[in-house]
Amino acid sequence: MFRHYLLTLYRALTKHRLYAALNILGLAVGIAVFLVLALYVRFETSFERWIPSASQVYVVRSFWTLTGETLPPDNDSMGGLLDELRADYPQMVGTRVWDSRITVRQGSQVTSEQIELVDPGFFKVFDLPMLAGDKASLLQRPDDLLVSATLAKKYFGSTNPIGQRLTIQLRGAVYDYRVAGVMKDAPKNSDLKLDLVAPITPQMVAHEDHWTHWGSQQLTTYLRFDTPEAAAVLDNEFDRFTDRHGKADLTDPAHNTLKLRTAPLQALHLIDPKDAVVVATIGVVGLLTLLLAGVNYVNLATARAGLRAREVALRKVMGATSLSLVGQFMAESLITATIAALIGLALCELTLPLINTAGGLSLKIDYLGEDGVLPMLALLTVLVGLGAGAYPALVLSQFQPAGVLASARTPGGGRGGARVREGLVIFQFTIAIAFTIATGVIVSQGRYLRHADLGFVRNGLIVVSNYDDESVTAVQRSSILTLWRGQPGVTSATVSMSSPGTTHSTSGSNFTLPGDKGHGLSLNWEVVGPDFLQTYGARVIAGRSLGPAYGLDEYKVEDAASSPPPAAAPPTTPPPAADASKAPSSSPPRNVMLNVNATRVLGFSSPEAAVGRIIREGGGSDAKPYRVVGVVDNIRFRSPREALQPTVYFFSTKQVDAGIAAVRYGQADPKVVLDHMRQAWKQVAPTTPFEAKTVEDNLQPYYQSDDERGRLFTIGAALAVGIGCLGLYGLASFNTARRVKEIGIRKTLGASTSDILKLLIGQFLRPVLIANVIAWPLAWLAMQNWLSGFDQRISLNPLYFLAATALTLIIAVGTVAGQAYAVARSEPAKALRDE
Amino acid sequence: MIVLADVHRLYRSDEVETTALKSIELQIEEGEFVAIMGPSGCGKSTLLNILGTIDRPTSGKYMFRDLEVTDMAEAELARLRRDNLGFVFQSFNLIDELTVAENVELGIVYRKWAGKDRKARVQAAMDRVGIAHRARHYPHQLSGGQQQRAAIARAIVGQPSLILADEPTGNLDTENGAQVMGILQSLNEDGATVVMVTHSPSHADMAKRRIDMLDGRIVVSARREI
Repeated sequence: MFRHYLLTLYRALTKHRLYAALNILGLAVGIAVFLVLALYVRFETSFERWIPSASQVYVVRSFWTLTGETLPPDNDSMGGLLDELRADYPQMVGTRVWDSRITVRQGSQVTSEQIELVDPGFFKVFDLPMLAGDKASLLQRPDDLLVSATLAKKYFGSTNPIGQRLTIQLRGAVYDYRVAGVMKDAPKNSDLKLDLVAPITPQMVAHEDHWTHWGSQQLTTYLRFDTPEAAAVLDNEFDRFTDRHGKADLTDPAHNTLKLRTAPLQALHLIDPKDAVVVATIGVVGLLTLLLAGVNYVNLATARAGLRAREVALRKVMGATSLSLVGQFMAESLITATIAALIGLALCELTLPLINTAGGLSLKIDYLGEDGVLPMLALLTVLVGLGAGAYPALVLSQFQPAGVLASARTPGGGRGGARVREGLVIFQFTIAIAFTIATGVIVSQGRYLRHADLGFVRNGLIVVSNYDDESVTAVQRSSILTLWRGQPGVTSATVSMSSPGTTHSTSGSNFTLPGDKGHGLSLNWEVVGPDFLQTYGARVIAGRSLGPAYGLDEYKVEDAASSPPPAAAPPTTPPPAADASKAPSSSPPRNVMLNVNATRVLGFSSPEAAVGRIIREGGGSDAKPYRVVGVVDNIRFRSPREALQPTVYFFSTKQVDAGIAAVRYGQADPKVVLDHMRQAWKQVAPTTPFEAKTVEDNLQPYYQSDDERGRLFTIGAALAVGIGCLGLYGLASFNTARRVKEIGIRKTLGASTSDILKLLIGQFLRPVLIANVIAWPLAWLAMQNWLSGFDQRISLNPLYFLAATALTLIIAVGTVAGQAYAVARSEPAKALRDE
Repeated sequence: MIVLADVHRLYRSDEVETTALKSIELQIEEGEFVAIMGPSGCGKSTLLNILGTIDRPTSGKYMFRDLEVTDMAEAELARLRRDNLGFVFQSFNLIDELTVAENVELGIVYRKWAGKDRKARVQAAMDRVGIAHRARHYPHQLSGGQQQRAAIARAIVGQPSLILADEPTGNLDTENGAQVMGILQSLNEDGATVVMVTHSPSHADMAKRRIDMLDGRIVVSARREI
């Protein structure tokens, strides 16, 4: 019996090869897309799972509210927070992770690395997999150093790294470390950078002025709780804890300014809702593609059901019950789905290397185990097989044998069946059109960002991120800058507190206009050196730029050389510019520039209106006045997703002491310029590594993740559209074949080829047009939501929608037209005779 | 009206070649009622299809009202059928998804007449064959006789000069068959030329002329004495 059914299935598949191929291939591609995107979603949601204790680790996050403005939460906290937590909660298990740029010296080799300084109880929180070293004794000695497998190989090659020594220059001091353990490399789905780990020592903390200053943020504090409830208990306590400990440094009650809360380590990667939405969207694309393939399957199977009507009728005549027929067709569907799943799995394996390359990922299929795909695939196959087979099986089993055998017509499920098929085509094309619109918008947004106006000229610019390395003296920096300026191909060079793509924290203060009451508005402040605007190619919108020719442009006259502004000053720390106000109150105010956003938030009617006006830092009698002498265009150094901050620019000829250098090189070859710059650096500071990149390379991380996700979305969406077209082709093919007789009749009655073409193509245009009507608002809402995640974004032009409609219409017409034309051209007598 | 000269029709497949018509010589005048008879497979339906321009002769010449049909382009043939011919089939060939009225309208829908005009003609055709009361029904809701009357209404709605009927009573009982033959006779009396393929000698006797075919050839062509 089963053999007979198998044979029937084999014959049915081989007799209608096109349908079989479209059916199986469509489902296989759908399953492959689903698998790949599910692997991606699993990758994105599995960050830090490689650490066995990860589910119990929490990070303390800071939520700042300054003068009524809520800042984006961050994962940094005060250095001494853990000590104060332990004072109140002695059982608290936690560790600090304090990252620093360091210089590693090994013989004559000097390299730049990042080190994580941690508490000796680090392993009680992070149960890291180790390749060498005993976790119980590690990090107990101040010179203990843990290295990752990659760095162990980099520095010691094949030699056993345990016991080897490395000299590290850290925060101006030199330490001699002994390698005590080797950590397993972190996988790609980890945000933790654990290449070098060493214990925090009292000597290091002694240099930190703000270690116990509430409002400072130096490092990340991790806590370990046995249960989520225990973390929740601390969260409930946190405001009272903050009020108790922070009242000396923060406005009372302290929790109104700073709220501390825990967040699970595993949730950190997608804790920004914008990221979570993008990953969820990609998951939805995978699901919809699978659904699309399932719909295809149902559509083609119901359509094909008519072709097997006689077989069903004869089986019924021979005694088959409806139930046995349902069983037969469900079994057929399951077998077909299984074949498709296996092909889908193979497609997935074959395409994963390409996807990984395109998306910068490291996805791989685990067949068995905790994350094994086989159980999921088996379940999926059964669901798709039964789900897709149910409707056709029921339609087929309900055919009345007498009617089918007596009639020359081919049953196709009647008008109800036709409506279901049309509904499914509408569904498919709704998804396909929405995906097409979304792909167009995502690709355009990506292109736009690559060329969007950043307020400065991004080409031909090199930034030196470790220009402020503590091992380089102020005199050396000045010499290096002079050498660079004289270098062939270099047109100008400058130093500023921040630069494009660097992750230095920004700092801000509250500013008001004279006469304004209240705390004022929080504005970013930025200190720039000579030639800043010229080097960056930034535009002055009104007034003039700051420069050494004007005495009042220079801020921080008294102590600029000895105490540069901290690059990562806490938000509440007043800017060093405050020192300018130490000048007698009768002295004229120092000059500043604003960016366009700052003129807007301060309420100036135009950039020109701000020029010459006084702004005051702080409130009340202590407010310090500054005169606005110019307005510069908005300059974006950070991610296009981040809001552009209103900024006050201060000028300092001494800024060379603390900041990031930028060199404009015009038309010269960047590699040659970089080589020359490196040589100059080595000539002056031979023991410090030179770290420089073009601005475009430095900005790359801001675009990378969106680019990767965009590519993944595009691949998924394109395949989904392809599956939709496969389905349409199959259905058109079936419908055309089924209507051969009708076409013969119509032609007999005088219809021309064009009449028939209009009829057949129009039949498919209707659902496609209806699908457009449904897809447009859906795509508009989805894309509006997605674009809102970018501060710099394109507008939702109707052209995206019209283009997607035109494209889908062309695809639909192209898919149907070939078959329709062949049938429309045939002799009507043949159609009637065949029938 | 119709002249066939040395018409042959061969059907070729990968394995076999079948000669459906051999050296057919035939003339049909305006207003004739011709019955074509012969055993199954003798070429009756093929001859009718060629007369209806829904099939082309492999060789020979077909003149319709002095127009050379044989080499006409597809679009010209469509126009010729639309303006001059009406078809009635044994299996009715109504379109399942259309109502009776819509099926009847199909006979003139390609003439691009005004909708109001079309409606009136459809109604008149349905009235003439007595199917108007089933105008909103679908084919599967009708008896065989009703379906064939709907098919005849479709054939005559455009007032064609030539009606081609391929075994129009083949699927009908005696009573319904007689009704259909009555309608065809009445149409012929009103001036339409009718060419009918039939297996029924009694129905053939109702025609003015009878053609007998065998193995793709016309063996007898005789006018009935009236």
